[in-house]
Amino acid sequence: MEERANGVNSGGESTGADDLVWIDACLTDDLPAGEMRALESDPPVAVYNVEGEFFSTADTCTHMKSSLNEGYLDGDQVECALHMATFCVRSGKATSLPATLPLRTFDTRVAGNQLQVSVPRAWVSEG
Amino acid sequence: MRDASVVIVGASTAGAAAAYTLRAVGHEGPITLVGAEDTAPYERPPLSKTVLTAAEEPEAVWLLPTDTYASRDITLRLGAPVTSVELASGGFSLTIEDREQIAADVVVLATGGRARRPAGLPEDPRIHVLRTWADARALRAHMRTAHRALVLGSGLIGAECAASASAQGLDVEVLEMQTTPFPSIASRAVRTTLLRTFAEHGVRFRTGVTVNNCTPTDDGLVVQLSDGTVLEVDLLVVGIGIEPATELAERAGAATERGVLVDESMRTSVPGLYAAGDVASRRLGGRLIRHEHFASAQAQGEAAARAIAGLEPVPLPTPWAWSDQFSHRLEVPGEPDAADYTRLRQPGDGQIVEFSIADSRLVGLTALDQPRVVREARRLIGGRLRGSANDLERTDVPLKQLVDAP
Repeated sequence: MEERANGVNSGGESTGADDLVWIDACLTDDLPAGEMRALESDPPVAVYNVEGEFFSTADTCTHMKSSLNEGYLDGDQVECALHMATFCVRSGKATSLPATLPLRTFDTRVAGNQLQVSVPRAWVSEG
Repeated sequence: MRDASVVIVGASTAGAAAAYTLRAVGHEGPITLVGAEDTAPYERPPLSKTVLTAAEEPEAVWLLPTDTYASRDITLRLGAPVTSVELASGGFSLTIEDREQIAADVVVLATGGRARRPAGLPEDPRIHVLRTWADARALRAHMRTAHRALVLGSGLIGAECAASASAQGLDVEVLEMQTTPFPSIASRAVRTTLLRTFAEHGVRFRTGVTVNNCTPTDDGLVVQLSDGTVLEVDLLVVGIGIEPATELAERAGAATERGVLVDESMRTSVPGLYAAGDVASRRLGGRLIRHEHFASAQAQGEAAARAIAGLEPVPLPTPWAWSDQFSHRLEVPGEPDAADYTRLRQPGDGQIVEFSIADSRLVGLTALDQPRVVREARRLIGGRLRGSANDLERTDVPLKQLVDAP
């Protein structure tokens, strides 16, 4: 198993004490380079393929709560469709106004042909 | 200049962007953001949209999280109208409400504008303008009890107010003094589609008319139009544009022309005095431009901050305006008004992109419900067409194959 921890959970809403769990995000083949998608967690989590490297952040723009996967991925920058705020998907850092708060980031790993993401258990528990 | 004291007049989109960016680029001197209103810097775009239609008492959307000012050592002075900016030894002296003086090495004027009112309109709480958070709250509260609304003006603010009032169940009529509804929208196809949507929601338009007089009565407002029509309504919204608030700049000796004249770094004609946002006007290729949109205000605030910090100017981004009216999203990147001719693309029902072309270059577009095309096109504005302009009507070829990057 190839494991690559690239998130540092340094995002703005990190509580530090979350119970994290690895979940399947999608097949790696279903997320080609330059693309992103959102997982059906609550709140939603986005995964990105930046030239073969996978990253994951919260999917909700810290500006006005729009869904980032409805925006645009350009290199390692995701741009919100609503007001053009941008974030670095590697670090979660807000890289242009109107956003100023970072996105929370999550570790990713590839297990076989599955992309997996480490997210708070509470975000994916049923009910 | 890293330790210069900077006072930003106007706790606005441009003002807050300037303050935030100054700290982000390492400015070490004191930064004071002075606002006439009592509210921390908030976003204006929702005022004519979600604030008016909010079921519960709305909350302001803050431009920056409210703890940002303290955490970045930005002094926020609210409820503090600046009444004059004067040159003082090596800098400026600002007066707040004729009572308090503050000194600054550098001043940024982000004073925006005031909503225009037709002469002769009486002062009455049932006659509204929409510029501030207080205006929006008052209008929202009134919409919840009123039945008949008259909106004067069908620019973006007038149109959004009319759509919001209609969505709140009011009977809405719009007056436009020009002969066409939505005269600020360059695309006739977009105007036609919007008009159809407004009509489907029961909003009526009268064009080529103005208000002759308006008489408040116990039951409402009696409005007499220039064509003799008399309307009785419960509330009137005046949305006929703003006057840029240039007085402070004029008193400080800065050149003005339908705004405070600035260069690409937001410098006025007075050294150390900058202007940004709705109040700032700029000469560009023989045209005088002044933008009244969120993205431009933000970018100009950032540009002023970079200039104050002594950084190389970065080109101002392509202008981009948006408006939400009923379920439509109108987006206008670039300068469609500068077009010699246009080409229309209609990929689906109600979906429209009208490309504006001048000298074989893409200079702007007017788009309805086409966010992805807008996003792609934004980077190509200013670029030269590769082939026939007619190719722009095709939906099967990516835009970047039709237009060279500028």
